[in-house]
Amino acid sequence: MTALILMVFGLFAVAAMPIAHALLMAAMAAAATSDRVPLDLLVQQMVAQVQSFPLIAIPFFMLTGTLMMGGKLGESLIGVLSTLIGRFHGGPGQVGVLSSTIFGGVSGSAVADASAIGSLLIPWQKRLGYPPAFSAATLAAAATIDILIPPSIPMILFALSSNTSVAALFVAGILPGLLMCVGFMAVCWWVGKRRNFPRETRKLEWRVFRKQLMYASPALLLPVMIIVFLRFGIATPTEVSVLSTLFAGLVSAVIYRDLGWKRLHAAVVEAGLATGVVLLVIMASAAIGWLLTFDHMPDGVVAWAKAHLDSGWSVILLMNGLMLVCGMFIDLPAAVLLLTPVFVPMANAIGMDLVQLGIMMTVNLAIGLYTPPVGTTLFITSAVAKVKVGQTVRELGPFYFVAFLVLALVSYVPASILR
Amino acid sequence: MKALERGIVLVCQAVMWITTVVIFAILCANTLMRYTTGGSLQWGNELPELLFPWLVMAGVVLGASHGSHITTSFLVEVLPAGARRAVAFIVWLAVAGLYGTLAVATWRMLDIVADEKSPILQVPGSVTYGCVMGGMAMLALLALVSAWGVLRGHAGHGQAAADAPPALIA
Repeated sequence: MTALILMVFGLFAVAAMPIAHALLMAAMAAAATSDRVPLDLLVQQMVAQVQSFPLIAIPFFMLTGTLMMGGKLGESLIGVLSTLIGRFHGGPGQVGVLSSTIFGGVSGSAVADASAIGSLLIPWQKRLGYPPAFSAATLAAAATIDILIPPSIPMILFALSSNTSVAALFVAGILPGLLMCVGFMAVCWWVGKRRNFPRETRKLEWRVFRKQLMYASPALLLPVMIIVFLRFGIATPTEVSVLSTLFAGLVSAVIYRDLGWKRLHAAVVEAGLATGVVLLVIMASAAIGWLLTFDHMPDGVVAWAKAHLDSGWSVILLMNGLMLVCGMFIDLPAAVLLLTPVFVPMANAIGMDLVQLGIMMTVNLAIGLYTPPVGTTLFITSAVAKVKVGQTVRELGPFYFVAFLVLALVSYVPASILR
Repeated sequence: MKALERGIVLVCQAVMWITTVVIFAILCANTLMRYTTGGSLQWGNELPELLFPWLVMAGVVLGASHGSHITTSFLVEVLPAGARRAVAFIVWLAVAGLYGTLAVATWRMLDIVADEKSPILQVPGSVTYGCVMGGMAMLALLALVSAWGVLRGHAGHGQAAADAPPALIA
């Protein structure tokens, strides 16, 4: 059954059928060829996903991100950062990395980050004479920091599939996210210096900077509030998502005064649409995940690993290898939901903490977002910068190096995971 | 065809607005009440859970209408135009068949799930299943519209997906 599922999914996915439909097509093919799997069971699995209270957090974190970054705040935030670090080697690139890290604190989606920051920053970087392919590469990689800094949609999905605490995952993601940010900024500095990239020529005026910082402070405050609310059990993740939306709406309406009906309508529809796209993948993955478990696929993988791998580090290596390959071809939410049931027993078998597994999975699958052939943030930033994907990929080498270093750290040094 | 699509889009947007606003208001009120009065709305978690499927299915259908569902199109793009159209036509017919079949399967379950009532509001399970069934039926319809568009030489939703901005996910 597993082979049939993989074959049907692969066939329809390469025929450009949307991934969620291809997953459901594979599930249907498996049900049609087995007399033990009625179609009703697949429908039940799908419907169960949309009845999940924790998943209600997804549209509201999306809405928060759109409200916070779509108006004057996004521009002012970038203004602060370009004033502060635009003058250094690779400064404009570093502004992109830092913007993505801060945006990560108000949104949980790397793709939302790539679209929002890319459309704001790439035109400015181009005006400065910054190479567009490097801009696209920087932002494609940096956008994935978004899903490490809380809130994070992949972490919510992992928490649901593995019965792990969302708050613990959110806190654990902070250090790898910050390390990734520092590493990517170092890459921008090093490449900028070596290739003598243009940079901002304006000198830093502290008075102007302080004013800009005050203006952008709500965006900096929100991630702190989210962590405090979750860490101290003040509200559940779903309630925190709604309170974040309330905060973002109030800030936009009262402080920035840029929240008209038109922008609110666009934000609500965009968040709803994005939720639908993610949830359909989740519904389809749930059906496939149930079929794979029914076919004892996770047990088979665990038994194989136990028989052939004798140390914890080789099991971690195997998990990372499988995740990298999956992340290159499958959408991130689908990969999280399909791989978690397979890897949780493996992690338990080697005594690996599930929070560490969740962070390892998020860091690993994030790399897939800017790796061909299916790299969503890679496609978006290349399209915004108007460069070929191949040109962007050629600039990504040092970013992969940093990402793999962080991946190795979270995989093999449990102390790098904050508690 | 255009009127049908426009109608579907308007219905989905209206459903999105209503569900988003109601879920938002209930969850905000529930959290604030917990800290101000020490109590909470008994149905404060149940109603958002019942409304969420409507928000999701409206998003799913709107995503299909905008060509926003993530697609891997790099292999199809190397095919000659004629072959690409043939593949797109077959793919959209298959999608229509898929969701048509799932919608029928869900419809057959409605009587059974109607007996499952939500704990506080006593809403039958068939309401949620009905919403998912309606979404699937609309997806099948939109896939047929896309197949028809491909047949007539238009891009259709599938083709548009390659050029449209990807949906804002993960």
